[in-house]
Amino acid sequence: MATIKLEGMDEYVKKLTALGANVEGSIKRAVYPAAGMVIEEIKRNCPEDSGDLKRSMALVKYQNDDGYIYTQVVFDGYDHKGVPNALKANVLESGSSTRKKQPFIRPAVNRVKLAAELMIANEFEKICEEKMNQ
Amino acid sequence: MDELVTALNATELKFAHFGWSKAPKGDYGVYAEDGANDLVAGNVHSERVVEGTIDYFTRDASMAAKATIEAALNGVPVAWRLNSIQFENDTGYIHLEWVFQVQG
Repeated sequence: MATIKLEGMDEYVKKLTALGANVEGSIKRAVYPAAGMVIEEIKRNCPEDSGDLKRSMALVKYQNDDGYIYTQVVFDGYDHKGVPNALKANVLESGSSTRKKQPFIRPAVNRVKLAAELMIANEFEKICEEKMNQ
Repeated sequence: MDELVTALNATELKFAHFGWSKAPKGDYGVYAEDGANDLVAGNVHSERVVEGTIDYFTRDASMAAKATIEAALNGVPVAWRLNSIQFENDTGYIHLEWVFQVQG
């Protein structure tokens, strides 16, 4: 009867267990650069030129919604005229009966969506490799 | 895109492409393409998809036009979703916005 002897199995299982124990942290690390790419594309597409709106864009703390890990782009604070940046972004994105819309968020997200997904997958793979080789 | 335009124009609602030079009195709509959302497979754009929005401004609180527009959208090969309903305090308009995707 043939027998197979595996060396280092305990070590391998230990590493896999450690990887699984902090999978949320690894996913957050993987999402971070992709989120940066998305926010940069939205900024690039932003039609407003005073700079207030671009400066107001930020990523919120990562959320874990029942295993769905994500962050959000927010428009924080007020512009130099005291207008809430979130309101200004909404008026630009959706328009109104008195202002023509200039959608800049959705088209920007569409443009980089695929690249961002690939970046998350690559980053996650890199992180897993790093941890398994430690 | 042609089928979408025909379907919108077949309703009795007023629509313009990209905008009105002068907004008409009463309720009206605008449709506009604003980008792509192609399906990419095997390093090629295997399905070309045009994305855009339809906006309708109405002062009718029952929003009867909503059902009319959605019935028109359902009659043509268009993927769509109602993106927002907003009320404009200063004009009294209810602003309905749909996002659509159409092969093209």
